[in-house]
Amino acid sequence: MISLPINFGLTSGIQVGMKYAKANGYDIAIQFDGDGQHEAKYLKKLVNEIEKNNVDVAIGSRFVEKKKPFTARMIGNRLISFVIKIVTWKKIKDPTSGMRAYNKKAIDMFNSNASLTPEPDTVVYMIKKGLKVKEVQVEMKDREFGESYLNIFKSVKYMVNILLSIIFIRTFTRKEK
Amino acid sequence: MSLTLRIILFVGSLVSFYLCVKKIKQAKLKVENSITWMVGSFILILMSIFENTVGWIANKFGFMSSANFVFFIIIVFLLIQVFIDNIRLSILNEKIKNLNHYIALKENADERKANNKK
Repeated sequence: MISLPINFGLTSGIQVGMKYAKANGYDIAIQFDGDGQHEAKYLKKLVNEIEKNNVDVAIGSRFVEKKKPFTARMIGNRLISFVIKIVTWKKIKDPTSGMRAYNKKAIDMFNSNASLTPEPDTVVYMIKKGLKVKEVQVEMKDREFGESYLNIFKSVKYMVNILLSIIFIRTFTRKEK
Repeated sequence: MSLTLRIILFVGSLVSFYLCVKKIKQAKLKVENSITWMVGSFILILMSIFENTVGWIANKFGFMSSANFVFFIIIVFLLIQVFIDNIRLSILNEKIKNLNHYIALKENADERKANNKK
């Protein structure tokens, strides 16, 4: 466990993990919610994708085999999915999922670009850079403890941030030759 | 430009100039950060003195009055200053974040070393 002396937010936490993974030469790094929403038994599935199927980023998705419900909470999810489809021509069914596994290539990317966050716009960046992103069906539970950092106002702000980032910044990401 | 506005500009610029020099002497303001303020207040002093030139330029650019032109210059100056400050803030933020990471990783490595020795 790495404890940071100053609370700098979620992104900073993920980034320090990526630095640690690189410094210790790890092959795979996993992004995982600690509030009981995610179940560790599905991690094997994600890691399998990377190890066996040559995938660079595996996303634990709720909606690969199951249908996305038409609820208010899914409006944002659908909107981000739609924008990602337009920008990358790829269908990401659960872009806001916080359960992801990254291989060495993706870990290196996190280390070389400080603007990468654990949010959907990073997925767009990685697709644009030519990484293979694949979704894997998982189940998620309701959070057992802790509180989401999103309330109504923050949700709107989050959506605007993510959409602006995808549309105006990540769209212009070019694949390296 | 009315005489009142010219006097306000002149006095205001002098005061900001004086404050800059004072803060630099107290080491509360870096010289390189103060240059924009110094240049800014100097331009305002020039504008309050050479009213005719300002009026001529304002007329060429199509401003309704030279006062509008002076305000326009001030707004542009402030926007640039805010933008520069924003960039500086982001850079500082990034540096603190990296320091934060460095401390955390270092402490973690030291802890593991200590545990291995036991």
